[in-house]
Amino acid sequence: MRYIAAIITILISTLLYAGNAGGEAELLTTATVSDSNSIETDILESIDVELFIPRLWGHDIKFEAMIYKPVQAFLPDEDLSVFMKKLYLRLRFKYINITLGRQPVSWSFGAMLNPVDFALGSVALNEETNSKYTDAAEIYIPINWNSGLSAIAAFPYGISSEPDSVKWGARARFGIRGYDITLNYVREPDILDTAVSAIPVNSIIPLQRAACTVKGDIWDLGVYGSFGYYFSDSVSTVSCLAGADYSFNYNYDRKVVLQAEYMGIDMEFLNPMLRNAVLLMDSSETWFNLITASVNAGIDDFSSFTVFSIINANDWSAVICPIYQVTLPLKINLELSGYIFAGRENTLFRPGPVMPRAIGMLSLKYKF
Amino acid sequence: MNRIKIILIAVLCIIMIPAYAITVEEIIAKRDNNEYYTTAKAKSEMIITNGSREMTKIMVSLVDSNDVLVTFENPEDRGTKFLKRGEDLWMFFPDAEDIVKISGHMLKQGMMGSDFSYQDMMESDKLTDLYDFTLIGEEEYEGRQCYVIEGIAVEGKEVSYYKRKSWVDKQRFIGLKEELYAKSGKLLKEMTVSEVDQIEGRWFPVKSLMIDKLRVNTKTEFIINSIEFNVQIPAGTFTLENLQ
Repeated sequence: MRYIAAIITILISTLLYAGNAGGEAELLTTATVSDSNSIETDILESIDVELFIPRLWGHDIKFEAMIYKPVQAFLPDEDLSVFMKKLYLRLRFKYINITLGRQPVSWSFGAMLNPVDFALGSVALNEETNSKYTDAAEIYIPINWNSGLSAIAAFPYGISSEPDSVKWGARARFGIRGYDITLNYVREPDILDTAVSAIPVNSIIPLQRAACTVKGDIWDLGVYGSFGYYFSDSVSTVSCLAGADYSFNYNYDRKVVLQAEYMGIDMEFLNPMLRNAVLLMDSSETWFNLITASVNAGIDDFSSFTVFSIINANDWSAVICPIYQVTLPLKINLELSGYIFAGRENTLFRPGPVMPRAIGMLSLKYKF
Repeated sequence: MNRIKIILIAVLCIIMIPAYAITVEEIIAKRDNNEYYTTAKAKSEMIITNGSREMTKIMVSLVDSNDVLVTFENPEDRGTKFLKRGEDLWMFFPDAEDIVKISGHMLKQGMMGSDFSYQDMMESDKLTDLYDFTLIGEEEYEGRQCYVIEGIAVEGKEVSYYKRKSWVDKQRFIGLKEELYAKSGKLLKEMTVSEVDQIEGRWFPVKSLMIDKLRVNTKTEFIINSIEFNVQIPAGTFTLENLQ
């Protein structure tokens, strides 16, 4: 792994010098306050590098990788790791595009939580995770300027000819009267071999899901929503999400952006013991309610302050996250953020000694 | 002799009056002839300054009537794209390679942290369609004789500023200075043009400065490095597919 990281570093340095590469370096410091008020700190360093390869005969080749030092508490023997974000070929033809290789698959519609994404949990609270990057083959067929059909076969557990190990997805997108509407379908891989996956997906959610999302405007309010139907041979459940966003200028030029949404999901399909253990729901409860809200205020052209929170309406526990962001001289971006877990004991966001009371983070980023 | 004098003066008046009787519509129309375009391709940069801190946005823009595609090339925003079609605004996030429709209220907000709103940057309508103008006088600005005109937003039109007062160069018919006001009458921003160029037979501002009058020590400089008018834009440019 060290040699691979070294080779990549040399290659990238050469291309950087030639001006055909760029990326982002980040230094992240975290401080975790445990339930017993002890504090543990850690430092994560990473560098994200991307090559800018011009289109060749109308087709794209993309490469992006992240070199990082793993959390030493978990992997003390690992010096460096490499995570391949993008390594794909996109063939563009008149009526169809084909994308082959490691690529991001993200079906956002502006919501802070997305219960119907291709990779669940890949985007949350406007933060993206690495779970959206997958090895896949995708075809896209444009219908008109804002409509198209896409189909994808992904291999989250490695390329395999076993149909049950393939994750399938299809998405239809179209615009009607200024509204962006999508219809999605996903079939998760049916992995029963725990040597392949420690937590088979089908033990948490039904294997298949079909969903509809919509985004548009009602007067000056941005509105969006989704409805998901999750099903397998023996169980089915639904989720719904409704949200809105609005912005205005305070004192003429201080921008304030407000966003709020409600997400509900029926958990009846989950084993009552699992429902109790994981979600800390009463055995009689089946409907799970989350309310998410965000307020972002611009302080000046180079800094902003955001507060967002997720509230579990079942037990009124919450996580509150304040974020201060500022661009320093030399174009270094500093972000100071925290997660504060609030609520009574044995609630979703305050389940007990295992979960921390709070997490503080300081991030320094430089884009080149 | 007196009769000849009277006739001569009358003839001179008839000849001279039209030279001084230019209407505000004509001024704006001549200005639109210079500054309004149907199709264009431009490479530009926005330099946002606040005290000692500075941020530069480098953009490539393609414009075809009401459709605009802007691609960012500076490292902080590299790969980010905006597509405006009519009143719809779409954004491409390069990391997730996701395309999201942006809510309409964001059009009035500053683009990527600048003093220029999305509407300022992507507004492609003629000024005469958006404002009712009045000629209020003439002044000298930076050594150039200018018409001073005032525009009030047309009822029902979505514009960034309720009132704008413009100094239009009398010779070149190009805006050299603009004061932008809220409906309350408060002066919000002032834009000054520091450099103009004659490009493809028209005068065009290539360097302008927008100052936020509500804040101290903050400004945005807009520089057009290159621009071509009446370009042939390939079909399929202003589509979600092309955003990816």
